[in-house]
Amino acid sequence: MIHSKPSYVPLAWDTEGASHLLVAHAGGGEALLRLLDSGRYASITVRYAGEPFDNADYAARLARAAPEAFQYFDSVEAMLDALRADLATSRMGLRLYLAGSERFLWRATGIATAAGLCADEIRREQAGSRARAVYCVHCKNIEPQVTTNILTCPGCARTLMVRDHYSARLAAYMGFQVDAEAPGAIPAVETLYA
Amino acid sequence: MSASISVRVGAISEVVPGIKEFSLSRPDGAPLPSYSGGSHVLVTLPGASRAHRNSYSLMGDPSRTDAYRIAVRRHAGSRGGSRVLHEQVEVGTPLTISHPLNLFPIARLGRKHILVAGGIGVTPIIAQAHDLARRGADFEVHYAFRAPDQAAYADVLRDLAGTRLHRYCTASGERIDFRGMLADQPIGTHLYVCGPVNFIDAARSAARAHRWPSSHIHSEQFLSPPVGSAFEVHLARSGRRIAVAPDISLLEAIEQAGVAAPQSCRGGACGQCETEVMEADGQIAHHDVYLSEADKAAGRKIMLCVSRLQGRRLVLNL
Repeated sequence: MIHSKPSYVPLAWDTEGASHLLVAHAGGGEALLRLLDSGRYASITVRYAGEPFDNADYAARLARAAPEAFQYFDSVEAMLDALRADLATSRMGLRLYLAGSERFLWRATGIATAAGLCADEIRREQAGSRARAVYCVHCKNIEPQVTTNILTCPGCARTLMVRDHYSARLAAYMGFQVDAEAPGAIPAVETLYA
Repeated sequence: MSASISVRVGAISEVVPGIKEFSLSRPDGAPLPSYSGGSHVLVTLPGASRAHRNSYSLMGDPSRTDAYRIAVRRHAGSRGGSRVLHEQVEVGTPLTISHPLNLFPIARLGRKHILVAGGIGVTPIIAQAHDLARRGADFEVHYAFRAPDQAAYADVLRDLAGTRLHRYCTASGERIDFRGMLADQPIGTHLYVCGPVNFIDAARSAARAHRWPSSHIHSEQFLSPPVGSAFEVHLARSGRRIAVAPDISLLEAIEQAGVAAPQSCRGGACGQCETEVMEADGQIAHHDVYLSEADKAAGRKIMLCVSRLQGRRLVLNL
């Protein structure tokens, strides 16, 4: 049991909240549609960033589901900037709902934590590929979409093994040189996630 | 449990009528362990029939480790702790204290901090205000006291918080408007409240009404074990039967019988002495502020330090 490895449950409303900020990236749009379909609260804001490969048209469906509260972004970066600005003026009683890749979930969580939100004000649902973001403990490069147990670090060319140890702060799993003790002894590469 | 610390009472002053301050230092003058605002120590006091052990908040500047300071209100219905401190402890009296422990810490990632004190509940708030002022944090202090001559340490809080100190004199009819105080606060705001039970409840329910989650609501209160009726406790694992007298707590009775029970704050707050109830032939009088309402209703757990049985026979998994 690795305690740092996050687990996720489907998004559900926190009925104790006074206002609700919903933020999703790419395939996370489906989780927001499901949440909006499960009931409605007075103060809801929806932020969504799509990707070119996104063919489910979540943007249009979310715009229809919450026309008065919806804002679309062309990139995750622009949406995270808007999240920062949203949180700078938000009041106590806010609850934050996040849906998307694990890396997106924890980058957004980092922004929310810096703004003062605690764990019980943030809910997260993972969507899309389970590919892992990997932080190279040697050169500090973060490779966002790793599907295998072993990779060559694009930052320093070391052969890294990905551990289950997750850093919420870095929004990545730890990768360390697999053949540091016995140079050249590299286990078989397996694809773990699609 | 960490080792205890031997100290001597260095100075005693009557801060306001009924409240005495004691400074505690090591006999050899060596520095005491550093602590954070909101910490308390368990003080062991010599007594005529038995030792008294009570938790007191450290109320000085946490950056000062040459002496700890505690302030104690004399309680009319005291079983002895505050009476011993007020009547018997003198400059030079040796005492034993525990290492500082913080059950009431400042939230490090908080963006704004609202400190609320009722009466002698001001003590941990003073140390928290020292920490926040030193960090340059955004904070305000609300201090309610009974009468003008009961406003202990209002001057210290004024120095630390300036115009962010709000004073409320109950005798003049001033009350804290908790709902108004907590309305429209920015995210990342934390509430810290220390004072009488009703005072804490009013603050907590106002925060709840504004839809604050529990992670942003902090309170502390140490209770003294109330006097009750006598009963007998059976310790199932050690096979002991112990009589609990009306003015002795369950924890004290178990300790006097030579059984080491888990304990720390001895005031119903920390949770260390939670013990499984195996049988009870009456209602458990839960006096702690640790167990959830559901746990209290279920009657399967008891906090040994302040709670007791309203019945004759209690069986514990101890």
